[in-house]
Amino acid sequence: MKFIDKISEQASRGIAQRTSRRSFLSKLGAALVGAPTLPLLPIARANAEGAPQSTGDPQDPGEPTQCDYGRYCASDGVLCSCCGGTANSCPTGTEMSPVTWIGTCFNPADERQYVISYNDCCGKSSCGRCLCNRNEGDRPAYRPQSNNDLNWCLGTKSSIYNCSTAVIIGVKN
Amino acid sequence: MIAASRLSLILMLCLAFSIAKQAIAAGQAGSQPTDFPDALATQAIPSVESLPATYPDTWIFAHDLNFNSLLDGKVLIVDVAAETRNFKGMIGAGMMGQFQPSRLHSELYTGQTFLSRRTYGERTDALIIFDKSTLLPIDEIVLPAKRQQVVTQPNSFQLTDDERIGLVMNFTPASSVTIVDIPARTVLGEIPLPGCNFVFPTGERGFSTICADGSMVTHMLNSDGSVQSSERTEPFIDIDADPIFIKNAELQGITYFPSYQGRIQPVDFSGNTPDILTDWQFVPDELQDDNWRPSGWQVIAASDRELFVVMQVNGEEGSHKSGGSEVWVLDPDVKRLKRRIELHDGGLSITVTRSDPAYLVVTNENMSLDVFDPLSGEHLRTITLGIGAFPFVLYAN
Repeated sequence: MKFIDKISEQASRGIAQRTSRRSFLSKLGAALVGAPTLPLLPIARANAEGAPQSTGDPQDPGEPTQCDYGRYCASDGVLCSCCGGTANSCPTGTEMSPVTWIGTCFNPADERQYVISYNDCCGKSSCGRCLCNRNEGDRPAYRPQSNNDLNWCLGTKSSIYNCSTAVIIGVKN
Repeated sequence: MIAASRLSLILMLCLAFSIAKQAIAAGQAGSQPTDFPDALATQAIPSVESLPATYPDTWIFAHDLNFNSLLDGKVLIVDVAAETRNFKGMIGAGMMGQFQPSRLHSELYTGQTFLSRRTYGERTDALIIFDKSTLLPIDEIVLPAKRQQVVTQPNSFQLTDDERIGLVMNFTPASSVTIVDIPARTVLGEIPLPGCNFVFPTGERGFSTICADGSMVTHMLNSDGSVQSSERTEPFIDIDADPIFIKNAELQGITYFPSYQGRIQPVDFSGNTPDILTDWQFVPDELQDDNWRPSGWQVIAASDRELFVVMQVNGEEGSHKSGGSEVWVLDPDVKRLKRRIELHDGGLSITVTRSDPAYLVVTNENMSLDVFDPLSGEHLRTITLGIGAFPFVLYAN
């Protein structure tokens, strides 16, 4: 099991321990309205906070609130899709960083390699929902353009990190 | 609702007062048990603990990134040899703070960022100096407001020249390093590091940095912090195929970097230029098919004679930060695996204390600290930190 799953599981258990079971389950249920089946505890996926919101586009399949959504292959952060934004837009009241790191992710639907820009959203405190850490192609920050450990809230009014997007900026030839 | 809540609160207070009154009356009536003829002593208010000026060598610093609330990152001080009361205190190191403990002075150093309205407003970066005994900030050096914010990396902030000079990495995304005179509490200057990142103290007064072409650049400094000389090595890191982790461990004057694929790259930083020593593969041939690889965050640590590496089976591209199921103990003299320590709850980051006996401390997959005997591999205790803690980097004292 990846660490990120365990961390989410721990956080979920922590919440359960700090609240009554009834209140925890009612809140969980409220957060997951529409989900067809729910595991109770443990919640083994990092992204249990977000209800599925399929793109509805057969060329872009997957759930942008789920870490296994194709374009998140090099992601390391919390998903803006779970924080009031989308896979390619920032939550209301934040500012998108103009510079960031770049990854390349394969889309099995059209069998293309897409160049993905992982712009951070900045200016509000950590969203803390849907932590997603996949790291394909991630390299140490001595090659920063390939690194997802850096806070890319640079060139923004505020340097405070809120969440991360994954924006298609091209097709790798 | 509010009125009902207030009413119930008032009723509870009345009940508590009534019980207390009866208890006092009973005490005055002389009904104490004979085993306890004297009442407990009264206690002073206020009362605040303090720590020793020099910490025992079984204490560690656990840098809690606090990913779910980065603004409130902190450094926790923990006695890993103690069964109880092992949590000694904390200092703030928020928003991906930079941290180094002093080994010569009773001080702790943190590079921090503050916005005037917490999440927005004017930015101030400062090197905050804490006293080890009181854990209170005793001084600060205001820095250029561009220090690097990265998931905790010890080599984003280092000390050289017998801890006189602090080296604070900046990233805007242009790279540079701020040179700080810590005893004088002043900034000496800034050195651009185009295309390079992180600082590794080199020689008596200098540092090296790793560059995006796989080479290292070294700057030796004058006492005023200006550059005395600069040199670049040949590229020795294949960043695409097998990069070295930034995390490293020093043993007998040699710094050891593990690589994604299971090599050890030794570098000798003791002279005025880094000596890139011969690398070696430490995954034995018979285990190569299982794809054992280093994986985690702070994946390497050293005792006074051995290296320790967090290892993951079935590693693949992108799994280098997933964490491992074992710690492998390596003998750098013979360049081979000596023994394996199984981690029942996995491992992300490790350190080894300088105490005798030494302790291997592991950030496990529950974000608690597992303490092991590094020789036998016996699990000794688990220390649970706060809910939501992310102790990503552990520093032996």
